[in-house]
Amino acid sequence: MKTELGSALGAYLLALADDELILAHRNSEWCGHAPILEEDIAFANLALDEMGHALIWYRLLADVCGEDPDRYPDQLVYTRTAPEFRNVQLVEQPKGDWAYTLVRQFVFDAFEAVRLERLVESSYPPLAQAAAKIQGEEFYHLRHTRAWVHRLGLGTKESNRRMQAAVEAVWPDARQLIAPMEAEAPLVAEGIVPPSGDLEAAWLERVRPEFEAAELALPEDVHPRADSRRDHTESLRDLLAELQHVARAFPEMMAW
Amino acid sequence: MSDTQWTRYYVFKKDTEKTPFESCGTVHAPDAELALQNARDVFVRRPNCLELWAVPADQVYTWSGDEVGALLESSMGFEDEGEVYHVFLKERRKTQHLLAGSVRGVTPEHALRAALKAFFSAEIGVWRLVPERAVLRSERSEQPSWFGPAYDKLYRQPNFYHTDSLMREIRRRRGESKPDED
Repeated sequence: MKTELGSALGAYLLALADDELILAHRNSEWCGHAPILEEDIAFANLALDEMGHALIWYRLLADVCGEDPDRYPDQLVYTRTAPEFRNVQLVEQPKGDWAYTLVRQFVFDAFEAVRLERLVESSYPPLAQAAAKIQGEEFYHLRHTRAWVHRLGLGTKESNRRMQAAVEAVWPDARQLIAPMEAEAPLVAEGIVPPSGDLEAAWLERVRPEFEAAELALPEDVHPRADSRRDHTESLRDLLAELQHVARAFPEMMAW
Repeated sequence: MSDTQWTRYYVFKKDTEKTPFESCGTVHAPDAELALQNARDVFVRRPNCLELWAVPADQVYTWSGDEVGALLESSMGFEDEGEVYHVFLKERRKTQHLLAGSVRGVTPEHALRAALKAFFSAEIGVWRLVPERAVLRSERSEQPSWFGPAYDKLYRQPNFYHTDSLMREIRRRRGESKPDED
């Protein structure tokens, strides 16, 4: 792959990987705290799946950059500072209540499903293969979170109220997912990735009917707080402080 | 205090084409669909599963081997009729409840008599019957997304993390090691 295209693809993959990693970490915070034991197990499982997807993207990124795929992911995860992360702000927000966590996961899964449907047709075969691998698990995630959106939306007055508040908190930040990535133009031109903006219609088609069926209203005309994936909130710094604490205290011990 | 527990569902799973369904335990869930999803996360070690069933606990009928003895005589010459029940049996001194086959019954007790006629052995310690109509099953066609392999996810295994040896090394470097730890 040409150098210019390679670095554009690297930037794109880093964004995908960081989204998955940070969301996985936020979801892992429910471990031992979910509302019921079975859901605790299910959600920890889902967090581990997202962590696995992050690893797939980080390793592919290592290949594209000519780095060691066994060591580079750890380096990226444990040694970068907050401004160097390229995740959307949606995934770094504190886990909130169960409604916030579920709605965030649902809209993220729905977006991912739509993007993966396009990435499996990528003209860059390793990317298409990685996307296909992730697709199966995402299908399952979406089934799980969709089921919960319906049950809590249609549950009690309180569950509906909390879900509606969650939709209103999640949706503006979620729209950052369809903002074009910094370096995607040359990748789009080569058929390696879809234009991010093109994913909006298919995403809405998945999300809107589910919310409507669950008696939840999607706010109109809202915009993400962040202009770019370089912008982060204090929450990411807090998250990284915890995530990187041991690695930073014992940098010479990076053996895992 | 009000009861905040959800409904309990029995979970049955089939690991391979060659092994029978077995009764593997119960999960709590607000409804059958989520029971099936919870069962997947609680009982399945991917990819070792072909199909899962979830059945509300009040639709699962269980008798001990000692209880059924009295019914045995009246079960012979019994006509199979009514709806389909799946028969799970646990032998005494064994731990698994395995699917032996299916019978028909107008009521659960009727089905039990049909099961006794078909499968009776003094070695059976538990008889568990499940009406077909109460079963929610995972779709075989969706097997990959439900139970896709997690082989490449070594980080899911506890022995992937050398926490003990790393902690010992960290303590040693800090001069905190005690002689019996090394």
